[in-house]
Amino acid sequence: MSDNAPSFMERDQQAQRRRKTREAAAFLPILGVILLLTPLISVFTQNTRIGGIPNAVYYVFGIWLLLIGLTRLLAPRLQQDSTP
Amino acid sequence: MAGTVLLIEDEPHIVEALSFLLEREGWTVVAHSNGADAAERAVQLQPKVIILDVMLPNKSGIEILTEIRSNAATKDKPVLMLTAKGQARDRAAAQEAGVSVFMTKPFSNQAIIDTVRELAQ
Amino acid sequence: MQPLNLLVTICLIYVIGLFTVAYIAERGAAEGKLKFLRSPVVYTLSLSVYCTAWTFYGAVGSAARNGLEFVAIYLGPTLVFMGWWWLLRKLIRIGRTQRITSIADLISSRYGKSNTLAVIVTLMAVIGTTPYIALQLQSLTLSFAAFTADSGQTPSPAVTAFWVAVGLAVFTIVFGTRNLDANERHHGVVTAIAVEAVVKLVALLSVGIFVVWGVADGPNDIFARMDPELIKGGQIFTPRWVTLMFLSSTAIICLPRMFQVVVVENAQEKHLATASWAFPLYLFLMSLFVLPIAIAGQSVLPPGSNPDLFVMTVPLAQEQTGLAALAFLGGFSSATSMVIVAAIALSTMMSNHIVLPLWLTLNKARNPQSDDVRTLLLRARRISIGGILALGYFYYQLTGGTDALASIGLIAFLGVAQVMPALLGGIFWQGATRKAAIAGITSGFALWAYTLFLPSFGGAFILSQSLIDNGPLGLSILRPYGLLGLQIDDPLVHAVSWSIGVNTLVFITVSLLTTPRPIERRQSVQFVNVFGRFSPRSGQSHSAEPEELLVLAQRILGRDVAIKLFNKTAAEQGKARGLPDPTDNFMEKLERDFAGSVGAATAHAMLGQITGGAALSVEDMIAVADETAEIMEYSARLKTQSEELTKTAEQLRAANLKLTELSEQKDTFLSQVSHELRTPMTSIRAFSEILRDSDQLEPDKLKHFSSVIHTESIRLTRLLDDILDLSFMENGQIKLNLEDIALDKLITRAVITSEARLREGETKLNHHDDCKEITLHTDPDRLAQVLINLISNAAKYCDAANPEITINCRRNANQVEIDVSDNGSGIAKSDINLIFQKFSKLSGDFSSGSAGLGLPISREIMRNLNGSLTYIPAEKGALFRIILPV
Repeated sequence: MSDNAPSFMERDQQAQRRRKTREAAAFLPILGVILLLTPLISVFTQNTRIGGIPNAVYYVFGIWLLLIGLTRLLAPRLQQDSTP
Repeated sequence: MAGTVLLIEDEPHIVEALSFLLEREGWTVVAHSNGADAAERAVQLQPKVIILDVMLPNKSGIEILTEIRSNAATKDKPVLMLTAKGQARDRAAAQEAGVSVFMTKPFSNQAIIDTVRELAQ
Repeated sequence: MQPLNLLVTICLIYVIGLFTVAYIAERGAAEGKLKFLRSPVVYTLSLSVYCTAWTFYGAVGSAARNGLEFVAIYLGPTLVFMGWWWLLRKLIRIGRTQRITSIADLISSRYGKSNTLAVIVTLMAVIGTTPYIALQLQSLTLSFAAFTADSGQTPSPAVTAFWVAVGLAVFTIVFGTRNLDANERHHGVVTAIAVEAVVKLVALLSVGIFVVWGVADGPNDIFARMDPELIKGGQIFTPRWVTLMFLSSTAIICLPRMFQVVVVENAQEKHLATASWAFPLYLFLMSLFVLPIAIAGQSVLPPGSNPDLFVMTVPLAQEQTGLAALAFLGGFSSATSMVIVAAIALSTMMSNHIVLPLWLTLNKARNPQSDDVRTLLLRARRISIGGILALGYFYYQLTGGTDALASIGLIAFLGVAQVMPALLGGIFWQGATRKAAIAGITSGFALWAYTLFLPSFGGAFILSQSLIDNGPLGLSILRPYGLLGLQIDDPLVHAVSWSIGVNTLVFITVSLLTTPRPIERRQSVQFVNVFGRFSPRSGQSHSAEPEELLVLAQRILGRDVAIKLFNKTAAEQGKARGLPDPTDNFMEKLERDFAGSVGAATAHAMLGQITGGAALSVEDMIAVADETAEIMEYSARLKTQSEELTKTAEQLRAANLKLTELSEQKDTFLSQVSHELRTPMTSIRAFSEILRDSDQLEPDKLKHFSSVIHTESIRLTRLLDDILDLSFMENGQIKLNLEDIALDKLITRAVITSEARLREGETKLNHHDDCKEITLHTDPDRLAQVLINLISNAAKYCDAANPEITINCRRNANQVEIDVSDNGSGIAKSDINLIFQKFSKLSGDFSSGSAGLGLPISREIMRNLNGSLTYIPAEKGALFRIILPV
């Protein structure tokens, strides 16, 4: 084996990482559904306000931004994965 | 020291040349041109030396040699084989069949004379 | 300046600007410049056709009525884009590999290139989109009216709508039908739409910022003005919330215009990775200020104001005419971009799936290539665009517009959502069948029409008000809004439950009950396993003529593109010139390229007509047989490979055997040459040594020995000549001196030359008169050589007591036969095959002086003279026949 070729361990780790990325990609929409499409949403959107703004607004827009951020994080890795 | 040489060869000019050479040395040369009964002729004649061409009509020199070697009456006779084909394969076959000396045509006259003399001893 | 004139001027300048952008982009794309046009940013922005005037104006209206509900319309697409790796990526890959032109094309292609399905989906799309276009016209008209309300010179809405429709039609035709192949993409349109996307966003953000920090005193202040009833805590999650999420997430794929921008106009798959977060971010920004604007409108404007126009009326009320104009432009952009893309998508579907198949059926007798399909298609597409906008305009005129903009949008969403089960089933489930897709889509569509679409006219269209209220014939159990007694207050939720539920159930059940046709199976494999190892194999030629194909391809793809494609394929097939063979690979490529222009079903039908019937080829059947699983396909391939290897090994073995044989032949030949050369040399050497070494030789012996040397030298020379002769002739290198000569004369010459030999054997020669009067154009020396060889052979080998040789000649229509025969015992049967071989010495023949080359040389000579030499087994004696052409 030449010096710059990845060792077995390294390759194994790469494969692990790829698998994790794919699993995360699968999990992301599910996370979105759980946070936005189940009655759970009511728990976080009680009739309270933070600084005058209903916390429902905070929750919906906050979760939205969080999901966008997570997608942004995963996108380049998935892209690499799908074009080897 | 002289005796009979049986010359089994179908090329008339070669027969003529060898007969001339050997007879001058004192040999009695009997020429035979047909392969079919050449081995029989050797048994009959009981020559001191047999000179045998590889390519003969009706029967190949190797076959004739095998017959000579398988007959008790001729099995120890010295046989000088001549070939114009010059292939290693023929030489090997001849050696296996029990040839005494194997020579390639064209030959040097002196070599033939010397060889026949040696074989006769 | 009058508000109206100002507005018209702004619109005109804006439209001219769009034209310029589209034109530059188009030119740049054609010249391969302007690389940034193919960037993920442009792709992402083009997706914003999702945000129509309905969203631009209507979202605020929705927020004013129902609080946070509007967000669901944006969250659905967000979830779909978050899962891009699973669904959208696959759709785009399928769209690329199958050259998909529209959603109708995708469904049709997946289910065995069924045109029935294509027509159904197309009609559904038209029905679902027409109200939507009407909606855009209405919102444009309303915004016009709102802007000019104070000036008192508001034009009639009908006039405004008419000119807007005409303008949009012109723009769409100019930039939407320039290229025929949808896969060549509409660079100009897409770029213009990206620009409009920016305008929309900037407009909405500007109004939002103005509202929050201009009208109110920051976010807290604006929300303090909010009616507490608008957002009630813990009440976001409702059936309607779920329904809206579901509808919006299907709409992002199934709406014809969305499919157009997401799949068809996608330039590179990797752009999707960027869009996956950037597009949701765009939607996020678009909705960020919706609530504040709604709240501001409610607090600033007099009660009863139309909340659907708050975006514009709030700045107007604050005397911010510039900002209002920007807002107007944003709405204008939203409406125009939607209409343009929708018209392109629908016109593609209509021309490919309705106009062209109709034309093909009507012109069955003629071959498709006899007319210019390309022109027909472009014309059909342009007319379709005009037709679609006309339809939208008439719809707007007829309905007069309803107050709630949002409701018609959601109705349209559910209409196109009926495609979803067939689409998802099609790309993830190989067992989904065409019949199931047809049954599912039509049942879902019928339920949608009955429970939502038709009642939405409020009794004005097909369904009467009493029917809506009490059910048909008073059967309340069949009430459109309470089917089978289902009590759901919200008609939308009710309709979604029924149509989607029944659609999905029917689709799954029918799929399980029916078997797919072979072509469906093949397509299902290619769709479901689009990322797999499966790829169509190459193989047998089709029955199509390449010329026919080229003509057809020129009609559809255009001359240059077609010729380029054919040349490239020919080169790939290893042909330096000429047309490529119609292999399966090539036909498949052609079909896909055609599909990019005319849709899968039509392309299949057209090529089917050329190749003789649209029946499945053997190749198709093999692909179907292999379809069961990727693994099976793979193992089958491995097997083929190993079979091929075995075959190759066998071929190699055979080649090796042949080589060994040839090498043996060569050895034998060399050994024979050696023998033939060495024999005379032996005599020469022996006698020359005798002459050298003997001092006293008798004179006659001396003379005899010298003459032997001389004879053998001549023999040696002749032999070398023969060998050279033969080798030259075998290579076809001999020079022939052709001349006209009387055959009679030639034979006489040969006989004279052979005289010595004849005399030697006391052979009699009969030379018949029939050789006279025949003149030949040939090489006399060579022909004489053959005759001499035959005569001397006969003289040499004829074993009769009184040997006789006979020469006969015969002249036929186009050839001369010369027979040389003797009265001996002929050639032994076992030897007949040997006589023409080099150095063959026949059983009885061992006389010296014959190297066995005579007959091979003679035969080679005859071959070079375009004739032949054969041995004819005769009753008595040997007979050689020379045949020469005249």
